[in-house]
Amino acid sequence: LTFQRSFGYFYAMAKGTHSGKIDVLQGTLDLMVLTTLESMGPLHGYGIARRIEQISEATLRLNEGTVYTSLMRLQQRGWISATWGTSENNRKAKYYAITRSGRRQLTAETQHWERIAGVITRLLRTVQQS
Amino acid sequence: VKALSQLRAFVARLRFVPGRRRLLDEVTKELESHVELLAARYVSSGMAPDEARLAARRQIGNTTRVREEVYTMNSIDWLGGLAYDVRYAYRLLTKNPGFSVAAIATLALGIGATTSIFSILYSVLLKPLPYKDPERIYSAEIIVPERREQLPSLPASVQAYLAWRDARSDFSEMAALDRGSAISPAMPRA
Repeated sequence: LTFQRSFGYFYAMAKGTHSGKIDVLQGTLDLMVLTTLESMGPLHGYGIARRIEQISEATLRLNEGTVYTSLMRLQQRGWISATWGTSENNRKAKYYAITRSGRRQLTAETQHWERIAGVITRLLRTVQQS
Repeated sequence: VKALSQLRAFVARLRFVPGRRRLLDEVTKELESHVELLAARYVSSGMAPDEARLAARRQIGNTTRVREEVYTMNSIDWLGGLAYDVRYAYRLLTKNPGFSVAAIATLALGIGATTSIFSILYSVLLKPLPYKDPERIYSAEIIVPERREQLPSLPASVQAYLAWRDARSDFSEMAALDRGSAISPAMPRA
């Protein structure tokens, strides 16, 4: 599972050529960005990328540019908000923060993800046993 | 529910449409400073500046793609298409002014004529009479059953009017009018 892939799916969906069955993949990066903002508080795009890298311990290959697509998408849904601020080293940077509806979405998405992961784990287990 | 949430998502997207150029500029700036920060990090971990910059570019991926993606996300396809169509139409019209004037005049005349005829028709035939309970107003005519083939109806004569007015009928009031010119006042019965 790579982010490249989910990004590609989203692109196809936005053009209206593809639909259904891809919500999980599409939401993966968005979900990670939301979780990061929830746990770390307001961050700029670079900070989000560093945090994801740190958590994933470099097992994920992430095109960091796609973080900004995800951020735009999340803004459109109203799940995060953006304000210009000054970063630690005195540069102007856009800071993103999770909104209340973003928190609600995160809870729902987390449950959704856990359910799907549970199903797949169980499925793989039965395959191994047989 | 899905359609509703899609509609809501669409409406939410509309808010970003007017500022899409600014948002694109901002994302461009963000991507630039992202590359700089990454490169600086690589340099501080011992990379040569040029090498660090390349590595940072690799790490961030295809920025043009991201910028395109952000821009399309914030625009509505048919709106852009509409703008192009309007501009194209304008160019064609100015290129051939004679034809344009003729076409516009034809349209204007057509619309004007239709509108004026309809407004006459409306006031004459369709508009309810400016009285209370217009559906209770009737026009009385004389019909001779034997001559109906030749004369569907005859206008009421003065004598007939006077007779009807004085007779008991289901009408609460009766008045006579001469084809558009004079109206004899309504005579309330007794």
